[in-house]
Amino acid sequence: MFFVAPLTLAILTVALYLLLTRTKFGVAMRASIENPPLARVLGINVERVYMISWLFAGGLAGLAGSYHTIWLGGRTSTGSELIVEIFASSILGGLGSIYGAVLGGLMIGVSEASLTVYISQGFGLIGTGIIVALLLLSGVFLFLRKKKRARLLGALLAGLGAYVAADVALGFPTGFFSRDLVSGFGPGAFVYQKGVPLIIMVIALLLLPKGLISVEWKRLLRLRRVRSDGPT
Amino acid sequence: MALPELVFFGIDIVKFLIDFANLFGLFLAISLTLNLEYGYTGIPNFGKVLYVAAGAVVAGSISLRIAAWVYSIDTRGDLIANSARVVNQANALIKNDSFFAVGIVLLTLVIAALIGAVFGYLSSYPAIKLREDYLGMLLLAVAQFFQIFLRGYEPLIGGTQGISGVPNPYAYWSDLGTGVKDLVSTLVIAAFAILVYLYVERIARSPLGRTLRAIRDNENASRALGKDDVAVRKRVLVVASAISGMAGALLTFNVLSVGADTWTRITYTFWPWMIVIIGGAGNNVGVALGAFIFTALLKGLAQVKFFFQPYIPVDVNWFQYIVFASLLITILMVRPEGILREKPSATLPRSKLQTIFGSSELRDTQIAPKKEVDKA
Repeated sequence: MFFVAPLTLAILTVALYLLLTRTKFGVAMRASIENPPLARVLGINVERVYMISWLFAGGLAGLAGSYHTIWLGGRTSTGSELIVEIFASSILGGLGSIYGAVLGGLMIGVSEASLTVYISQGFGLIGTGIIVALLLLSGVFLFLRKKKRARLLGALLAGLGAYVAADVALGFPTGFFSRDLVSGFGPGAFVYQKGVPLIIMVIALLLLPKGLISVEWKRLLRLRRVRSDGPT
Repeated sequence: MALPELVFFGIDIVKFLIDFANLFGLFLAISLTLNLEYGYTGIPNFGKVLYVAAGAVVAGSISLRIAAWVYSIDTRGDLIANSARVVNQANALIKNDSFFAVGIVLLTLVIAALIGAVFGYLSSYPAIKLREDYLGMLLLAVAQFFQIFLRGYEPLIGGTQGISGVPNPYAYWSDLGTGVKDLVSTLVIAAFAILVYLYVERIARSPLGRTLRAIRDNENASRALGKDDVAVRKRVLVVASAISGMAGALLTFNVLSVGADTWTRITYTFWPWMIVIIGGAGNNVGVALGAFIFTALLKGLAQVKFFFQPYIPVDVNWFQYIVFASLLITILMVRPEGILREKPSATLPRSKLQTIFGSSELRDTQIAPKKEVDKA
């Protein structure tokens, strides 16, 4: 039973991709959201396109709802409980892209289901990794960035990292946060289960204002290569 | 001197009016701040409940602690668990202490405004960086997280259990008769709402109001004219959030209870949005009218619904929401742009301009050209 939903997702992603790029109607859909007056000039009935896309959206959401009920059960309040996460996952990936929605939904779902377990049971190695990453990041900000604000952030991060590291090394004499990072926050962390994906979404959006899909990986990799090849 | 009791068709009119005025005042204040943000500046603030809840939490937690500290009430080491006892003792002492009664309201309002302003300042960071739709969802998520935090973190207001009551600063007036302290609370809320209305209307009519609309309508053009849109957005968010925080504090002193689930995103985010939309974004009179109609429908339906129970096959308690929503949708269908449309910016009257510039220059020019409000 558990593979039905992923299978449907795969089929729908392909079907939506084909609809939006290979059919006249899909192109009309994209045109009428990009530039309604221009689409009208080209003879597209924008109102009807909106109507039919609402039809699609409602139908797909209803399909998702039926799967949700099969797997997790349903109440009258299911909709209002889920709505924030639905918004979060569609926004996190980035609007205007099918893959963005898939990616965002995956990230929100996985972080809600499994990250909370890590937080409650302790990160162990991951916690140590976070401390190391904190120190590395602070070094980058301190020595590589020229901006004053970046350096301030670097100093702050370095202070925090040094505090946590010293705390761990001395066997947690003062740390509340550092102890919890390694040994876990305990079952109390499950109160925040619904909050963890929201925090991830907020942080992701602050770093990438147009969602995950807006990252141009190719350009990023090329830039890095150029920088490493260039004069230092 | 007790409040008169006027019962009319089984409805206590005085009680109903007080209830109505409380809700109307609070919704008016909150919707006006939303109008300042969305209607005038174009910031889609879907996290309104965050600022209201922040102010309400401040009122609940700080007033309890201050009362325990000022009157040195024994908390037995755990304020949250013993809150009922603290509240009872504090209320008995407030009756004879006018200075404390007034002081705690003012102090809480100031702190709630400060906390609200801090939250507003923090949310101005994404408000400048993100596109509108992303920003709205981000603020919605942050507000939701705040509620989850309140549920999980008990030392502040007792988590899901809540604290049993808040010291009632209006208890000072309780000797005057039953219901008088509620009336005082209502009057305070009414005065607050009127002040907020005057303030927001003053902003809208000032040069700042025209700057806000310019930034909303065309950011690049206003930037080219030397307006610092980043600073203006920041200020608007800070001011609106501070006012929302104060409204939250007054709400707490009115309902006298706090708990993580007292403030839901439906009541304090979506309903103010509904009020702004049906009233007319960018028109304060419209928003006030929208708040009045909204509250009247909400409260009126709750009062008259029982008369219809014999004729309706389903439970009338749920049916009222269907009727309520249908009526709101009907309003929107009849007037898609809200009850009152946004008007062109008000400038000085012609006679005043004539005295400033001298009558000859203005003889043939139209001072306030009729601007077509084009949302597309």
